Amino acid sequence: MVGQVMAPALVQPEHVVDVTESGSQPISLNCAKLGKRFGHTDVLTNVTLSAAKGRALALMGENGAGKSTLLGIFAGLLTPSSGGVFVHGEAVENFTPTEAQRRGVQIVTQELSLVPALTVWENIHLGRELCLGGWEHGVLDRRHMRKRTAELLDSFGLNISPDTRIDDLSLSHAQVVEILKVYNRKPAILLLDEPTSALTEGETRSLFKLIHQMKSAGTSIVFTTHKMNEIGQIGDDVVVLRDGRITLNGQVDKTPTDEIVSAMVGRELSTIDLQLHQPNYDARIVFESRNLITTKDKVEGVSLTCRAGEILGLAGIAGAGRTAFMECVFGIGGHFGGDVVINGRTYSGRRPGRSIAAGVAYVPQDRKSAGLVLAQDVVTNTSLTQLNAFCTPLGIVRRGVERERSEKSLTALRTRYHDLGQEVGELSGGNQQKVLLSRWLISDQPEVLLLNEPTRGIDVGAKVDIYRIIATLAERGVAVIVSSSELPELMLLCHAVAVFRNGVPQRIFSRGEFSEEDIIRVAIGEGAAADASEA
Amino acid sequence: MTNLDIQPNAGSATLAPRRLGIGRLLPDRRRLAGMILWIAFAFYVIPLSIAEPNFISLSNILSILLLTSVYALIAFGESLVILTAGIDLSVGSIVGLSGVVAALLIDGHSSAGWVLLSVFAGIAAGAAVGLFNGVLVAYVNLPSFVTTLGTLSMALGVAYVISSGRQISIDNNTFLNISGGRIFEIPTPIVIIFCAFAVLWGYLTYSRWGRFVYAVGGNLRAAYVAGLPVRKILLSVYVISGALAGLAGVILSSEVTVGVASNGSGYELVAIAAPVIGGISLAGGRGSLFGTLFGVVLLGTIDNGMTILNVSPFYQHIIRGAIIVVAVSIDILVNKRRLV
Ligand SMILES: Nc1ncnc2c1ncn2[C@@H]1O[C@H](COP(=O)(O)OP(=O)(O)OP(=O)(O)O)[C@@H](O)[C@H]1O
Ligand SMILES: [Mg+2]
Repeated sequence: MVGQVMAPALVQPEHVVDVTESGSQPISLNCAKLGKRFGHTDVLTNVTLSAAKGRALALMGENGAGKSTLLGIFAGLLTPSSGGVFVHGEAVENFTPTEAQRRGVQIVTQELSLVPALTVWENIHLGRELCLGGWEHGVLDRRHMRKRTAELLDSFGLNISPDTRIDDLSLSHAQVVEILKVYNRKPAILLLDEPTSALTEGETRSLFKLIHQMKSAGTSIVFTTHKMNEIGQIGDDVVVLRDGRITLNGQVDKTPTDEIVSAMVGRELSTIDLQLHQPNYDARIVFESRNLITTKDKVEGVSLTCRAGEILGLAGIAGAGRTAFMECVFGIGGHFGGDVVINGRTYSGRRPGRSIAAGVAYVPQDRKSAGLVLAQDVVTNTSLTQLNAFCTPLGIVRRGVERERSEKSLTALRTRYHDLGQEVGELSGGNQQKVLLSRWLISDQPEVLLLNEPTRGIDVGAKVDIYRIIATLAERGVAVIVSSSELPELMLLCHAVAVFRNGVPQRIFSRGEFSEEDIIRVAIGEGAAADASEA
Repeated sequence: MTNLDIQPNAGSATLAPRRLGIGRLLPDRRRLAGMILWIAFAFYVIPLSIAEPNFISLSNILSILLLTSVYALIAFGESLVILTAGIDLSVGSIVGLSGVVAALLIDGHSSAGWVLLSVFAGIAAGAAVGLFNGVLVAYVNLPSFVTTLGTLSMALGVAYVISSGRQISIDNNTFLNISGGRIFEIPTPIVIIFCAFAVLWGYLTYSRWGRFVYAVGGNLRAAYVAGLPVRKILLSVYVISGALAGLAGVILSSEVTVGVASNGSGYELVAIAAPVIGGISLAGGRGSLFGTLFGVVLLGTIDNGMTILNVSPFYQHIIRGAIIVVAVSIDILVNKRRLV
């Protein structure tokens, strides 16, 4: 989808394509007439599907369609309201994680579920600790577990120590650890809920290799994704959910992508170009970093500028320093040296509150831990950063205005919720992301907008809206800096892309020079590129 | 200035249908949970008032409220701290300290000015301990449990030192009127707790500060990244908790006509139990001050009932503790609050 995106055009009646031939393979997981309601809303209705041994089933749908809910039921995290689930033909009676795992079902959830204070090897073996002499109440066999972890990390090509605490890992590395943890348990049925949303391209490739291996070993896999090209890369079968109902059930090689997309969104999506405005290269420089250095050597001297109206992309592999750079600018990460200049004024806030006051806005990558207050309602989360705009001088919140504005910016992003008073934790992952983004649409626009993986977990239809909103903001003079692990996204959206490696931007590509290959080559380093192309 | 004119080019978010029909009339789970505790409460009150008609007389109800006024004040402050996912164990000691401070100041004086001064000094002593707690928690990042465990002991110690371990009796009538007096026929302490409740609840619910308290308790890191003044918010709740405990200490010393260091020892139990019974989550970020009020009244009524029924004080301890555990269990079971 380089340079092109899908846009909604016309509404079509619901159509169900049912191709229920699962090849010659035996069925390892299936459900019949499954229903799930939360309170008074039906999230899943009459869902019947099956996953075959050694095949991968792609579960597709818009944000809030019910994918995570369905996987949650399979994994024993949720109990269905009606219908049945069968593992290897046997009906499941108790919906608990223990029971599901006993039957060989393992899940990688959409949000991480690692213990942050434990190390990589401890997490990977959590609940499956190896003990000396095989006596399960005995002394832990640390050496063995460390070694096994090192092997797993190695096979994935991840260069971190088994003794690193999860706290200290980047989101993408933590996601890999989570996947390896589950892989190590040798599941018969593996459920992956948006496993690639936090991964970089290289890691995604490694994951797919792993999945192919598992498939040929007979594991059946059910996965979800919002990246359409991934369906073809690992999927064998595809099921589409819309509003909790199945709208398509077929085989990947017999179903064109358009058909999948229209089954997802309930309307035809035509491809159109994003009308990106020309940046004015004489416009004032709004953002400038001068030789910025962070603690722990994550960023080693970054000098970048961004003008009013410019959209600057940051590309690079995991650990290249993009997140550390953004966090340092915003005042979260450890600052070691160098300056940030906003509108010609050296800014030394080094604290989010001051950065926001100076006109810098940041959308963090990890919405669960650094973004949202999950126990609070949708409005509260939407207005949190801009609450001052809705307060009387005495600090009383004008709730009417607050609601109205929140609702508008949430609607602009097509956010789905039942009511504004609903807890954000109850929204689907993609809709939580939209709440996070809507914060910066609600009131005064910032001078500099830092976006870290803004479309993580967002469905195809809504991505377009987000790109358009970003472009509109830039057109109005905001300096936008976007970090993304999806190159096509950056190449579509940005006027220039700075490619990071080892904590420094190695090269800045202007829009005319964009080439996926060149960018990747710079991102992984010239020599490494040669190795990768041979592999 | 705003970006509200940005709209998606086609359609808008499709919302799932709202609750319709008869489902609307039935209480939803959350409301039901609140009711369950009331129902359980009724099971206690009704038989008791039949057996002992005096139990629901106006004078007894007022005496229950009077009895709980000290508890209520410290429980309100404690609720704020718990909402930020902290705990304040020092409130009991502050009650003793502020009582001693007030009693020492009023000793030998009879003018209204000195009364005012001693009341303020009592509150200020509490606020000072709260400030100390707040600075350690918010700026030194010391866990609140450790901090306030320390000040629990220190405040008690200071109270013993400045009173030389004596009981300081109070004979100033104006001061004694704080607890004994009436405003429009309502005992002054009751007026005070309802004023405190109204102000705190209103501010917590409708103000920016209140929002921030919930946000800091709900997700500290997210609140920080969102640019909230996290440290100031934390500091503020400990200061308020300390000041309210100080006020409670003044009222208590006026009630018992002496200032003693040990006046409030053990009060932290009720201060923590009341909000927890009322549904404020110890993990922070969830619950309402109404719950705390309910918790305080529940505990007060049960204490009063046991006294009326002549239950031995030894057994009262056992029963009070059991009720705390049972009440919270009911709440959790009905709410289907899960571990994860
Ligand atoms: N605990 C809950 N209480 C109420 N509603 C819920 C709860 N969990 C999920 N929902 C609702 O169920 C619907 C489906 O959510 P689900 O997480 O399954 O969507 P999804 O398909 O995984 O979306 P995404 O692509 O955004 O991850 C959403 O509308 C969501 O608001
Ligand atoms: Mg999901």
